[in-house]
Amino acid sequence: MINWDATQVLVTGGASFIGSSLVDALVARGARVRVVDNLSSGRRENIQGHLDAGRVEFIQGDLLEAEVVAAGLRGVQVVFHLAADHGGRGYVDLHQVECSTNFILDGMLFRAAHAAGVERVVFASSGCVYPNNLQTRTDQELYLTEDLVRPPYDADNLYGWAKLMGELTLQAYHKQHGMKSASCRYFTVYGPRGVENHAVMAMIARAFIGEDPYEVWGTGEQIRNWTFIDDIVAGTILAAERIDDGRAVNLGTMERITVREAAEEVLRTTRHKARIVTRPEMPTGPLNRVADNRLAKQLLGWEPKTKFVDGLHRTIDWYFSTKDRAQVRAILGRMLTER
Amino acid sequence: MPALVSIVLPYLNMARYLPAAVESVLAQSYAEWELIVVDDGSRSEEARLARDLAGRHAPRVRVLAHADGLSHGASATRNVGIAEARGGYVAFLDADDIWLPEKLARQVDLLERFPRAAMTFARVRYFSDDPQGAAEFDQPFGALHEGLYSPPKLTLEFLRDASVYPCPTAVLVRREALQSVGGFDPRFRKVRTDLVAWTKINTHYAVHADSRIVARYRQHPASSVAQMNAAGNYLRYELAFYDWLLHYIETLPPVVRAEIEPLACERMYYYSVQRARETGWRSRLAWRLAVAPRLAAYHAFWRQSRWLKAMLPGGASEDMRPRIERVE
Repeated sequence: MINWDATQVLVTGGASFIGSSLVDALVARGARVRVVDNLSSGRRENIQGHLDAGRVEFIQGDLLEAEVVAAGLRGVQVVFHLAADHGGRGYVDLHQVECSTNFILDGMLFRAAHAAGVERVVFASSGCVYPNNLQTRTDQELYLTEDLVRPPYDADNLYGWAKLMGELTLQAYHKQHGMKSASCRYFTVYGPRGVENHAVMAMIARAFIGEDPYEVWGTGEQIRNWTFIDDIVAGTILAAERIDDGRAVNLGTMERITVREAAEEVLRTTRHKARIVTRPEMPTGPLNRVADNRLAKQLLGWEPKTKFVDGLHRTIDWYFSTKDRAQVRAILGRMLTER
Repeated sequence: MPALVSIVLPYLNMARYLPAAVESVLAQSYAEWELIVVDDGSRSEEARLARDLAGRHAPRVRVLAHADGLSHGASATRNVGIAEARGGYVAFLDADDIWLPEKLARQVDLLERFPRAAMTFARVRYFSDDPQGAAEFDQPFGALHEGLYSPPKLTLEFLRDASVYPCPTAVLVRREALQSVGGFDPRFRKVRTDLVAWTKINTHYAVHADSRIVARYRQHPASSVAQMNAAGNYLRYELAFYDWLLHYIETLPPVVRAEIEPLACERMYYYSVQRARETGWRSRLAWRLAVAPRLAAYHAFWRQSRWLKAMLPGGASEDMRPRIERVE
């Protein structure tokens, strides 16, 4: 167990969607939190309240620079490493070079963390580490168990490979140097502060601007287990508290939702009456990706608390009540393939 | 293209106040509206005034009436207007009330920003045009918070604190939601017409609460509420409402019903005893019941004890007594 009150924490990527939500939860637990973020996808306003209250220290900088890494790690006991070059499906398919910088980023951070005497590193990994060849058939009721990530590895794009290397690197640090660590494999996270380059947020944004016909990328038959941000945050903190040996654990629901079902629920909930058109030629990702979360239950006592439909409603409430239609119209096209 | 709002204004002999109400509609900053004045059997002179007023603003303002020309109460009258409404949103304005100019603009924006909400409601400022009357005051917001309420949370809030539930003048509702719950219940003719309709909506749909003052609510001796209070009929109407509520929640899913029932039973019980005391029914049993404490006990009795229900005092008149035959 960690006494968060007496703990100095670093959250890399802490101004982003998941990062800032994690910061909220850590601050609520009393931790002293430092955030390093280059604001490439993060936004200062996500943590502005904490900055104003003096509860969070913020370093704006790029973790590919050694000085930034060193400054971020000074005096830190626990690192939550969420920073990465990432985006939605369009981005990870089309921007492999950018995603490959994550190899450098993770390697530098882990090495510096060890050198600085950090007690524990929690790494935001991804469902993208799972072998592509297991996720190609929608007629299988497959749940990805952690042990399916083993040789021969077949990760999803360079983004997935970097996450996989990150996990293996942390395990090596634990084995060789005893640095405590855990990896959380996030599965398609969504929720308030989410960004339009991810599927659920894009669906909500399309409804928000009244898109008709309403585009769905792929055939719509792809299966996902969208997992609500609050559950992801709770699981990540539990992983910090209960896993020492670098093990990777899935954080994802076992609800199997097709993209089309999600789109229909978005249209129903937002009362947007539009014709759905599928775009099979656009980036779609794996056809069948759903976590098995029994290990998280066993190791962490974690289970997702938010059903997809409830989380979707909360996300829609947030999106519609905070966004501006003209602004969303202006950025949406770019967001779908950029970051 | 901005959405059309249909405004339903039930009208019964309020010629004195109607022009101010209509003026407040004409002064709205939101322009996409139609006003449907529904005459609930006014005297011919007063009815003519309403028609004349509407005629000056036709076709945006129309006057309808009941087919038989008689008075059917506020609920049935609003339902006539709802049936004729063409807009996706429905607003209500009582003939003696006045909207503030941003009322529709704000509420349309809120329903667009909260697509899950079937209705948004705000607050009114009570006023009296009698210089000797009570000072103006704002409707309380009580323990409510701004934002969305999932069913049936608002029902509980409204039962706990009747001062916070909205006047018809302060709501904007989606027409499809209103129609799917059957609109207003014509059995309620004057008071509690609104609470019955809101209960039907907020037990089925999410509803948005807004603390903004959007209208002025006129307090005067001819209003339904003033007449009810003057006649000392308050308890009778409360009992009628809770009688309706206890039957209505039978139609809801068990989990929703279970949330409302304890409070509804407690209130029914409380008002029954009050009414029994008021009407002079002072048997020993009534006194015992009056002091018997605790919600859990009411709940258990109500759910399980047919004999107890049969003994509950329902007041003097036969029709006010809670009906006890219930299929468990």
